[in-house]
Amino acid sequence: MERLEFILGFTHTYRIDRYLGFPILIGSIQKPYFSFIIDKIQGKLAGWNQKLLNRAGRVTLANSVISAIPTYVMHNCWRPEGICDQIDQTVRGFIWGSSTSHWVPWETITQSRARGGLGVRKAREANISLLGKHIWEVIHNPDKLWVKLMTNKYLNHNSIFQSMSPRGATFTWSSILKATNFLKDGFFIRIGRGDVSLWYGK
Amino acid sequence: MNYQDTHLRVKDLWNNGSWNFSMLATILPNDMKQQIRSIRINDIVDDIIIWAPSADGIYSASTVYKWLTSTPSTIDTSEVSWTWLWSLNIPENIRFFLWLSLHESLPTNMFRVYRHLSLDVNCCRCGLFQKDILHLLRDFQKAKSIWSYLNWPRAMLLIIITQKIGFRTTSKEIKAFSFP
Repeated sequence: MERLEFILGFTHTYRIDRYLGFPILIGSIQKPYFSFIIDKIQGKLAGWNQKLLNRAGRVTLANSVISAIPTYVMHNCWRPEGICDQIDQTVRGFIWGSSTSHWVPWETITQSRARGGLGVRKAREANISLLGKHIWEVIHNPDKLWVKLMTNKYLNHNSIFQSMSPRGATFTWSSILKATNFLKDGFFIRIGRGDVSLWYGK
Repeated sequence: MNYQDTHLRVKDLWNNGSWNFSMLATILPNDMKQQIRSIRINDIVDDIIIWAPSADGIYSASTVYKWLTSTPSTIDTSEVSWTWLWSLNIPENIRFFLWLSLHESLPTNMFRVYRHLSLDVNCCRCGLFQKDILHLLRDFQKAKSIWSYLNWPRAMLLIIITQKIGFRTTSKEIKAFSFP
């Protein structure tokens, strides 16, 4: 080991922790892996901030925190339901304060501003919409390296919309497939030459 | 679907610039035929998969988010756009206040009684009227005098806002009436 270290110039470690701020995922992915997101969000939305800001300010801060902190992780991972709920709860609690009741329903707040909401993003839906970018890549950029790798390994020339999650697939791929289940109905074929089957789509 | 048709491709039904349904063994409903007739085959363009909810068919996280959060109850075409509120040139916290009042979500006595936080719906200052948002912002004696003190463009805001609130309440009441 020491000789290897000497030759390669690396040092060894028994703790595989994080890479680019993202915990390295090994084995089955469970909730504790993601609790660092909650810690970060709660850190930014700490109590003293809440006391100093009015509600409008709290909404702005909450929006910037939840859109910035978990985005990278949301891109690649299907976050566990519990984590999403906890993020949403933290945000709600921060906006309204723990002692008062919530004056406007969460469903309304999470609509866009043009639709009468405050543009706060629900964690689950934001997660799906970011994962969906990979679906788009799989369809439209088949020459990308990761797309080649994943499609050859898991799709076998099938369409991503008909694919089932294979057992033991990598977490990223099964995350993408989970998002596909939600987004399927939004993808349509725009007919050009008309080479596609009359009955079987996508 | 009839088994004879399984191999057909879209362009097989396209015959010199119009759709030819007679070669199908399957019987299609008329409204579906009508929908198909609005599509045209174009030889120089590929069939591509698009993201339908966005205007240009290109995937973007924001259109997806919008699509995911539109439950049937929120897709209400009569609902007016709220952009006017966010483009008002006033401080953000005032906009937030207006936003709350447009949702009838200021903790007035009406609101509190509705949520079982209070028993008295009347205004705690004049004691005569029900204390709802229109009373608070428009009908209350003090509010009136403040508004009359302000100059024209600002007072205009009051008219717009109370109209919007009034519109929203009536539309809600109508809904409640027609869908008991």
